[in-house]
Amino acid sequence: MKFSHDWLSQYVSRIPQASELERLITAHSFQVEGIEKEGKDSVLDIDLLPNHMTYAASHTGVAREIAAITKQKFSLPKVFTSKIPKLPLSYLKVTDTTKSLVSAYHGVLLEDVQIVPSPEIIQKRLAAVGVRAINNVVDATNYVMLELGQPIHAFDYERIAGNVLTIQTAKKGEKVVILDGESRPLPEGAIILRDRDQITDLAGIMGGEASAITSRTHKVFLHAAIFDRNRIRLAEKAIGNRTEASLRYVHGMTPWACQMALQRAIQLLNEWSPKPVRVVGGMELAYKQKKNIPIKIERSYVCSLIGADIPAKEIPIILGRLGFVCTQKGRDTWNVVAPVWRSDIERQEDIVEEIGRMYGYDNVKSIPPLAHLAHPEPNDMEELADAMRDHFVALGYSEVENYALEAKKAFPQEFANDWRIKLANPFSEEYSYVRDSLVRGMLRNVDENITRAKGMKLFEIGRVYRKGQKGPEERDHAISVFVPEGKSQSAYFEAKGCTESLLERLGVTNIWLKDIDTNDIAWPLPSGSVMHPHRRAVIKVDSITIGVLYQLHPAVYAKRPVFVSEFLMPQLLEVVETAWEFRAIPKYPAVVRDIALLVDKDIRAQDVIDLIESEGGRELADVDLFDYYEGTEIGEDKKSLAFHLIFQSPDRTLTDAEVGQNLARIITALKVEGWGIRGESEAK
Amino acid sequence: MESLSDLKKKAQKMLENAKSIEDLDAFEIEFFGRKQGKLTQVLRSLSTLGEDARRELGAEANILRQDLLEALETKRDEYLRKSLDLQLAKEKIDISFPGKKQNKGHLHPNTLVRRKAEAIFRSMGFSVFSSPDIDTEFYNFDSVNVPKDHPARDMQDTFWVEEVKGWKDRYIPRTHVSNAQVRYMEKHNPPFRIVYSGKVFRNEATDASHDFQFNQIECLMVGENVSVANLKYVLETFFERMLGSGTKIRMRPSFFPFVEPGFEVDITCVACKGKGCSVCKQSGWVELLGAGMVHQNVFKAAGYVPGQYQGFAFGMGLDRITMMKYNIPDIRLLRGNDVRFLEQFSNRL
Repeated sequence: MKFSHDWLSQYVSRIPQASELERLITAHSFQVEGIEKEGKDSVLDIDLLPNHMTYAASHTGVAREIAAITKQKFSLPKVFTSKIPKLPLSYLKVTDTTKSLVSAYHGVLLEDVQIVPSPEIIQKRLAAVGVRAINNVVDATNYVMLELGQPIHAFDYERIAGNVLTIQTAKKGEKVVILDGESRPLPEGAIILRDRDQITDLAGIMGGEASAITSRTHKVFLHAAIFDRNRIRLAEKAIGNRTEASLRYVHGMTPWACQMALQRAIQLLNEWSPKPVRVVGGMELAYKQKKNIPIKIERSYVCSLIGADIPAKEIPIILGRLGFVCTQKGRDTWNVVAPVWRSDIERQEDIVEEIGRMYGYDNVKSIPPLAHLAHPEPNDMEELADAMRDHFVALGYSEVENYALEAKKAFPQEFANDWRIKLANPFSEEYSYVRDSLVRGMLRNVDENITRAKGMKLFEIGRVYRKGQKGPEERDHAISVFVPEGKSQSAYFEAKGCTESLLERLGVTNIWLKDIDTNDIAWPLPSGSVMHPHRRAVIKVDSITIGVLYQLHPAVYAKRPVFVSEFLMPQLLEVVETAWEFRAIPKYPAVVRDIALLVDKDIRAQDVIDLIESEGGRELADVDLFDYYEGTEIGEDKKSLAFHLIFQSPDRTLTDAEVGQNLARIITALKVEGWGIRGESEAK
Repeated sequence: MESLSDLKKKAQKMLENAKSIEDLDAFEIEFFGRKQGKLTQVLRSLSTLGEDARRELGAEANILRQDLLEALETKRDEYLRKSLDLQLAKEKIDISFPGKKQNKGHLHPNTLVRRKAEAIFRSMGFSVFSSPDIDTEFYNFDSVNVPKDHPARDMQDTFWVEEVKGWKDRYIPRTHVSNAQVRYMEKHNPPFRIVYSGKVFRNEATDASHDFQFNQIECLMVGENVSVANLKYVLETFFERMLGSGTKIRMRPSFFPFVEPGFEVDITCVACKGKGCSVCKQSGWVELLGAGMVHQNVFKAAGYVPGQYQGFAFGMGLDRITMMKYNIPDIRLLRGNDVRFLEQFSNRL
């Protein structure tokens, strides 16, 4: 909101220069957005927050703050002070039929009004704050509103049909022609004023064309009233027009300035017109007014909350400058009543705020808090996620952060599930659903980067969501994708190696992979149908599924092979937390033997390892697949597997004979399965 | 058999004339060969001599053996060194060639900033807490004293989840992380201090400095005497460590429903160090966070006895700190996930 420095200076005995004013107002009251030069004047653009509007949306309101900050004298403007006689009902009868939508209504009838332009200095002042000067009457209503914050409206008295004004609410389908000349449909329930024939005012927003001031006007009825803020908000929204008046009404106003605003308008008209106006009479509708009640404040609480030692004598002085009335109740205790123009003071903390900002937060010295040395609680999930981030990075993966919102037809479509949470009011169809999977975002990242990078390793750790029985469900989830550079036969195993390394870094070494069947995977893991049917596995620890490892089905994404690992964070946390125990470093040397086998293509390496392990005896410490081969020379349907067999005993050095016995047993068992031994050797 | 002195002369000459490792090897065989070595033969013949002659000749022969072996080793070292130098000269490389790229991953800049922030707050005894991203209207608004008719609840500002049969509450992709406040306080009694962060959502148009999704980080400290002065200390400490010493803060009175008194906090403009520039509109300050003393209505919503506790809360956009820290001009880059963007950030905060 704009404020003229020159105008503000009318109410403060000595006012600082604009730049200093900017600093002071910002430190103690409101944020000053900027200062603009308007001729000799400076215009301050002040960002008033909703709770400031009731008392500071006017030049006197801001001037009162300035006076309080700078400890200068503040004075209200001069008003017409002669006694105003009661306006006979024969001149005008105002009736309120709304019961509860009006909380104050004051009017005054003036005669001998001459419509002339306002003085140049006034026109300039109005222009400086963005209001166009029209004539003395209209300018006076605007000037008073900008000065006191109270909107007032001027009617051409002779155009009020039937000498009646009825305050009522608009019925469905009613229309009004307002001052801008346009006819607009009124929202049902909007507050209107009506004369005998038609609507004359859209209360709190804009006057009606029917009784507007013209150049021929010489009798003027002015009113100042308080209308219900919620009805005005509704109406301004419906007609799409926020005016200076409605802006003030919607934030809630107290009626303290209604009568003063009329008296001030008469004063201004007398000053700006060739000859004084004649005041026929005034009227007022009676309403019960809400009063600010006393609030008890204690200095100890004020000082404790601010954290500064504010002297007892300062407190009533500071509050007094802002118009608060303090009554001492005891040592360092007061009853405080907020001024009539404040409706935002409800509790002790509101008053502490007034004291604090006037005392100045720059004057509050920072003090380290005194607190119990309580150990910060651990957050296991966050810690696991952060540990995984580090491990992913060490394995060459980069972290992405995707939107949690996505389109109904998400990319790729195969993933879209009907349990996804939908927004009631998305700003765009593209972001109208909440993600239930991290795959889509990741795949979009892959697709967008595909021309920029040959290969890619990306990961994301974040939550996924879906509709639950009683409300939304959310799960912590992790995903990594690996897009190999060019064609790579071993890409699946590279992805698997990364997955194993990641888990190993987390202390999870006892994983096993198994084929996916539908019982293994449930949300938030994706359906098996988006996976390559022969390149997909569930990652398990004991009987717990902790994730999946798969190649994306080419029907889902064809441009490049994409290898995905997904981890269920809650399950992972469960297995990571199991205790980790020291194992003794072997004292006796290991003996390594290699064997190579020729087996059918369908036989899994794991099946062979399982058999070797079961036959190897307790001296067999480890089995390691180190070579794998397929080729025409060994037969289309065959593959060759080579293993290191590591024999070791914790209590003695093994002899060749002992190892030989174990090996023989293994070989016999392998032959029973029909798995041909291609060779065996002592490992180098 | 040659005399020892002849042998010595011959040997010294051969050693002098040796031009390569091979010559030295030949020399060694000539004189020290196990069977035919000339000096070996002399030494072997000693046993056939009488005691006196044996002692005399033996001493002399052993000295000669020692000297020759020493000279041989010196010479051999010299040649080995020479041939190694030649070998190394062949291995000369252009050290200005580019280094071979190692595939290294990168953390997202928001992760780097969040971790740094959490580390600072943890060092001051704050616990890291987490709360739901999609929460009820109560936790998002009512519990933190946002009145029913507050404009923030409008459809224009807040996303609402489409209602589902069987759900009792209305849900919101949270508009701030403050939903954590009452969620934590319902289960814990003061004194405590916590830090929490995460995704928040706003129904607003996106531009270079606004996104409909971003991250916030917030702190809450509650006790019996927690004050504005304490809040000021924690903020000063945080920003000095986060953005460098010399970063100052400025607290301005402001209004947020969840606090009273409330503040807007400015920090020294990072771009100009407070001198005034286009980033800070010449003011030297950048508005960065909202703060204040927890409103008693928030304590009430948590089930505390009103008036029993005091506390502060402050919250800020994590993305804005990231943008400031790395001089990132557009917030949308943070969720664009262009690999050329992601690869710029390393763990060097």
